[in-house]
Amino acid sequence: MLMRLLWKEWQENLWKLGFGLVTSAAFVVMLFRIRLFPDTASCAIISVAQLFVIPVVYALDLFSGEMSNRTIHLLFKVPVSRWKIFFSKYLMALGCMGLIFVSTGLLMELMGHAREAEMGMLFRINGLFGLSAGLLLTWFCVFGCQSRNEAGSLVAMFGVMMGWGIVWFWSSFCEVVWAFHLLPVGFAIGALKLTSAAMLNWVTLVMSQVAIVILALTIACYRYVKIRRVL
Amino acid sequence: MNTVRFAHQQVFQLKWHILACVGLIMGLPLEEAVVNLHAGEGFHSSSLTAVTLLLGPLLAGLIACANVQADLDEKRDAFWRSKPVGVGPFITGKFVIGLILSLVIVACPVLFAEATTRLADGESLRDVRILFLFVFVMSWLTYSVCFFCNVLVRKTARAWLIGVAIACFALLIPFVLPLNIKDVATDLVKENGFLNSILVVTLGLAVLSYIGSIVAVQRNWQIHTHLRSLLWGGAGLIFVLFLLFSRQIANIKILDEQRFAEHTSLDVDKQHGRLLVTARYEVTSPDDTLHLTPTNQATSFALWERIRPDKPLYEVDESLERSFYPNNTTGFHFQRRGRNYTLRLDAFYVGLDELQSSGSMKTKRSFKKLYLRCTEYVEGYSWPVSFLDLSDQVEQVNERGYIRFGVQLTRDRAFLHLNEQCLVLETSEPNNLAVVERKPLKRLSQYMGSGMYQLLPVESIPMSDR
Repeated sequence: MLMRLLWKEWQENLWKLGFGLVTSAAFVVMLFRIRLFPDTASCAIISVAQLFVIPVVYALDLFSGEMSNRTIHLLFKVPVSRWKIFFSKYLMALGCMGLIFVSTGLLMELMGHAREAEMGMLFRINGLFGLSAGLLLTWFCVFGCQSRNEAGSLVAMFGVMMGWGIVWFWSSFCEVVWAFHLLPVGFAIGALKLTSAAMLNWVTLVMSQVAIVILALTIACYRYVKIRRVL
Repeated sequence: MNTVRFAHQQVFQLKWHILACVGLIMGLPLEEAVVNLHAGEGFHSSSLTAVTLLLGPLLAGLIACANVQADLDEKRDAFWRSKPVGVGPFITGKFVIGLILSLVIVACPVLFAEATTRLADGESLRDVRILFLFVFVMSWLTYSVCFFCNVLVRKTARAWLIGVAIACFALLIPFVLPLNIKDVATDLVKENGFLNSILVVTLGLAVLSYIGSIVAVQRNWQIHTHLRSLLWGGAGLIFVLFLLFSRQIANIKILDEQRFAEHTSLDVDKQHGRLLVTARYEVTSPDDTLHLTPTNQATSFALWERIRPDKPLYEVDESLERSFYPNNTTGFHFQRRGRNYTLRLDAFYVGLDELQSSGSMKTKRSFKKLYLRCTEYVEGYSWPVSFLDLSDQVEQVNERGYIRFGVQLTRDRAFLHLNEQCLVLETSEPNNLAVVERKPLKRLSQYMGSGMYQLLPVESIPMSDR
């Protein structure tokens, strides 16, 4: 049943995958062809744009779309656990986002062909941004899974970004290392070397993110399972 | 309808949005002020104001969308249209009240920063009026455009996204329209009245949006949108804009390029008509090909000692190894009375091989001497003019062998960040550098790079120079 749910999500969100692939490829080709900036800077510009645009595009109507279209009534009548419905949506979004970031990274490597940045560097930077984008999507799901419309999802995303922005400022200004390692954009910050080696420990970052993502997914799943208002 | 009651009803309708927006926009300045208070620098906020102000126009757009949506969704629209209320005055009232509210919200962080800075330092924030004007104009533009978009679209999130996109597009118009730019800095910003163009475009669009809103409500215009088509359209528009813009500034054909693996970042300098890279190579381009000719910069010390043997710089044991800070540029450049000077740190050390736990050998630096060197650039050479012995700082070099070094130059002083100390140097006479103040550094900067630069104590720096 989970496979059928995944197939449904794949079909519903195929246009987002197409959108992400086409726009990312278009901007990569343009920036790497005209060479307005150095290759690493072009990579950083595209990655930053992707970091905020791609998760927002996916999360905007991932859950609220079913609510505003009232199709959630039909979906919840299907004899399948709600947590499976939640994870089918989440995993499909995560997988498609991964596909977009991997293909963008490969295209950057192809276009850059190690002329300025060393081999694999652009892919690594874009990949780390992709990890951060996945973490952001997780947090958007936590706060947006009960939204009834796009506006609710948007407000949830705004809140997530502001909240983590405050944590970022606090952790870097007051040198709170553990709080820094909880930031979803920690991988992106590390990729661009925006922080010191003392603040960023990759092993701790990975372990912290795994722990907090499990917690976040548990909360998101619980909130989705407990939806009452629209039914 | 009674104007006061109408205004009260409108404000009451938006109370939660106002509270949420105030909370969002004041969160960071309040946090910064608390952090500053905790660090003993007084309860004030200044550096985050700019970051927060970027949120201002976005939140103004959000207020606009919420304002329209409150009365134009299906049922309420039918309700107030059945009442004897003029559409024009009704929409004008909504527009004006929402605009005033959003401008008040946007003003909150600026007023907070100004008031707390005055209380803490007794000085006013620099350029606060220009900042005010800029943010007010941007917020007005975003508010008006989002208002108009929501009148047409009648969906908060989509209208906000479209409105913000159109506002950004409006800001790009002055960049894109003159199609013969050769150099952005001179052609656009200085000569073509770039700021005036932005002001005219933004205010013009704001007024047009207001008029358009009234006409759209009177005729009950609505546009049915689709998220998919909106995103494709938006991305396509951005792509075309980028193409137009990049066509103007990236139409320079690359004739030749050379790999410069020696340095991670290049310092390009123009001295007496010569183009120098990292002060070691002179760049010439005969026949459209690049030629890097080594200058004799590296030997200027030897030259200087040969020409002026009566004034040696400093004597160090020749067995010591030498490194420079900053190591990726020629130093910190400054001018005094039309002459070019450079500050750089010369560090002398002994390399000690250490066996690591992994079995590999690693060379650890044991620093012996530190000198701050000031040189003057004359006729293609850097001539040493003075130095300061800072060897008392070698004790503070950390275990990994890093010297933390940074310089902030002001009109007549240099604020030298060296390991755990801040040294204030008098640089009005580069021939005679003098330390006027020493202070321990307090805490790390939020902009920490790999060198982990700490924040300079700011008490001795005038507010205008910070």
